[in-house]
Amino acid sequence: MKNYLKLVNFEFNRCAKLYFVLIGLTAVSQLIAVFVESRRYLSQVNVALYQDKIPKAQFLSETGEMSMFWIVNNAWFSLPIIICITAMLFYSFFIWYIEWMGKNSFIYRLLMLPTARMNIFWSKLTTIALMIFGLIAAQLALLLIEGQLLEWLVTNEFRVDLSIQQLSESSYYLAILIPKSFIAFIMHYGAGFGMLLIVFTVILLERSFRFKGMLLGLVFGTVAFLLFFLPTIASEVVGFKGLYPEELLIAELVLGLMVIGLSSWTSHYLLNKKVTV
Amino acid sequence: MKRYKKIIALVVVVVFSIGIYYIQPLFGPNKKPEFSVVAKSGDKSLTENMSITGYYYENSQLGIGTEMKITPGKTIYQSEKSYLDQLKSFGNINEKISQLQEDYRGFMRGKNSDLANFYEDEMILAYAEITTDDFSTISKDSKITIDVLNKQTNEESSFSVNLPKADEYGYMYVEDVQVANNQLIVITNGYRVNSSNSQDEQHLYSISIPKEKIEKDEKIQLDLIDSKGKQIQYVELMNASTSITPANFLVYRVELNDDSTNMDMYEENQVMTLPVYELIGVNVETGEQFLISGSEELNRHGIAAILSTESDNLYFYKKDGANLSLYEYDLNQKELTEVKVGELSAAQQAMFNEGVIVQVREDIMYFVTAYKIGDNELQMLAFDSNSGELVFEGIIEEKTDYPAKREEVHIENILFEQ
Repeated sequence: MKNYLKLVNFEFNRCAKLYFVLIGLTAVSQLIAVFVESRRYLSQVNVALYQDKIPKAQFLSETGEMSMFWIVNNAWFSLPIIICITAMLFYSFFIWYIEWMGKNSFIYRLLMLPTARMNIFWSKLTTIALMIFGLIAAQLALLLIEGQLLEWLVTNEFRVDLSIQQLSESSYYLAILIPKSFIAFIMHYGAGFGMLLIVFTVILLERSFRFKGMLLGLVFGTVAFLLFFLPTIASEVVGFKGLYPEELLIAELVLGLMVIGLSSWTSHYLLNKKVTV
Repeated sequence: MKRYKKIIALVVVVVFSIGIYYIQPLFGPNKKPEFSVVAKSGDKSLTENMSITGYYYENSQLGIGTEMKITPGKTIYQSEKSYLDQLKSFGNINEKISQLQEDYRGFMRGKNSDLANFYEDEMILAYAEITTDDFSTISKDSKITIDVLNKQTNEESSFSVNLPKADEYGYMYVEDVQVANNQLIVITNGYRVNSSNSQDEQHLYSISIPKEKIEKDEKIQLDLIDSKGKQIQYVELMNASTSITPANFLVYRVELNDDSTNMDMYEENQVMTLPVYELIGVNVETGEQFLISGSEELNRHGIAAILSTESDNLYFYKKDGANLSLYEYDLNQKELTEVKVGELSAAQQAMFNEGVIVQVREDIMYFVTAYKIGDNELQMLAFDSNSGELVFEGIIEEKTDYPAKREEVHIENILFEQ
């Protein structure tokens, strides 16, 4: 356990600076979004009320009030999210390949450590998970701060305050990132980490057998993916409607656990017996 | 410990913020309003088993809202149900379907969740569906599949029959299922495409369950309607899609527009004429089809007609200035009776001008304001359709500690629990 924690700490510290820069960039960009959108709205208000002499009530009924809804749909808001997602996807591969880089591959030392080799695997997975949840936590805090900032910038009569839950209901991508219900949160991120586990196994296959491993990885990845989404594919693509929604959920859960088990076992085998430096 | 400080800080922040996000709504106050029917006058017991369904917008401009049901005890919002309950009712919030799925889990497996495809009486639960190709169109291989559950013996039987002249139809769906003369009657709506001008067609396929074949195929006779100078826009079955109980009559509403309306579509200064409605009644047992020829008003107000399968009556209303009249059409006797309610108060008139949702139960006609947008009140009136007497007057009162700026309520239906 101690070795595992040490490894997680080591993995995280490796990229901590870059990670905090990423959070900082997100914060700056999203705060810009609040300023940009509220300035745009207020100039609209000024033009309508003072130049075009449109009554306030008419303006509000035609244009509507300012809210966080407009901000989350601004490019300054969504672009850093896309960058963070891309960075996380990239880092999921890089976290393994970095060990083989350079003249004296670091993987040598890692594999020589007097600890179970799977600790390396789990520590990498934990690091990615921590980083993703850290970004989500940062986004939740940022939404609160941005909401507060909007309250300072736009007066109450031209503003509608939305809770984060309401925002998540009105925005498609926020509904995926921070769903309203905790079970949905577990489902979304459970499926995500299931996929990540498959990716890790594919990487280990490639590292073990190189080109052949890449092909093997492709086959493994496809089979695991199809197995994982079998009930969904059966219902949405083939049109099989024989399962009730709650049964579909249980089937997904069981298959998800199977895929996780399969991936972990394969990774365990590869790390202990096949992986080469 | 010191060297773990960054990671410990991260874990604490993650658990804290995600935890608060999901735990806080559980303990926080309910931000959505509570609605309840409050009587001003009349018999309050009329609303005892009543629930009102609709859609509640927290913010109509941003489209943030959810289905709601106002019951005597509390207001139930779909979005506040648990994730699993929402998943169960995904795509259908019909309680009857949920009930059937609970009672007949095996039989209901894999079936559409549209009540139109079902029929239920004391003996059987039946289901009919038309198979289509991948694009939801009728192909020459399309069939009518039938599943019947004997509720007494729990025996299930399934079979399918070829859809007659399937290659001549572009689209067809089951609009209702009934039973008459020991035959299952599958009522369909759709259109033919074999001729140059495609046209709507409604069929009543009488299917013998023991013989597993179509015994009779009857078309709804749209030529009962004098459509000279007019064009049929669409034909729909009025039998409520919220019930699967036996009905003695089917009633079709036919919408007609002036022939000229379509041609003048792109011309300037066009005069849009309002559509008129004609109603065709069908006696399910005898197959007799007849034009429900009431007064001019009846046709004009066809849109507000309510069919009551419990009494084989059609109900209409007409508001003329400050006066309200109620009409009852007896489908057995083919007789129309008019009852004058008398003069409405200013508030009552406003309610009818805003639009109303109508329901009939045990000869009482219920009216409720269709929308609450801004400051208007959701009013409710109930009249005895035989005497015209106002038997209940009230409002749907809204209570909230968090008044929303862009709130809207759209009422959809008035339901009565059995």
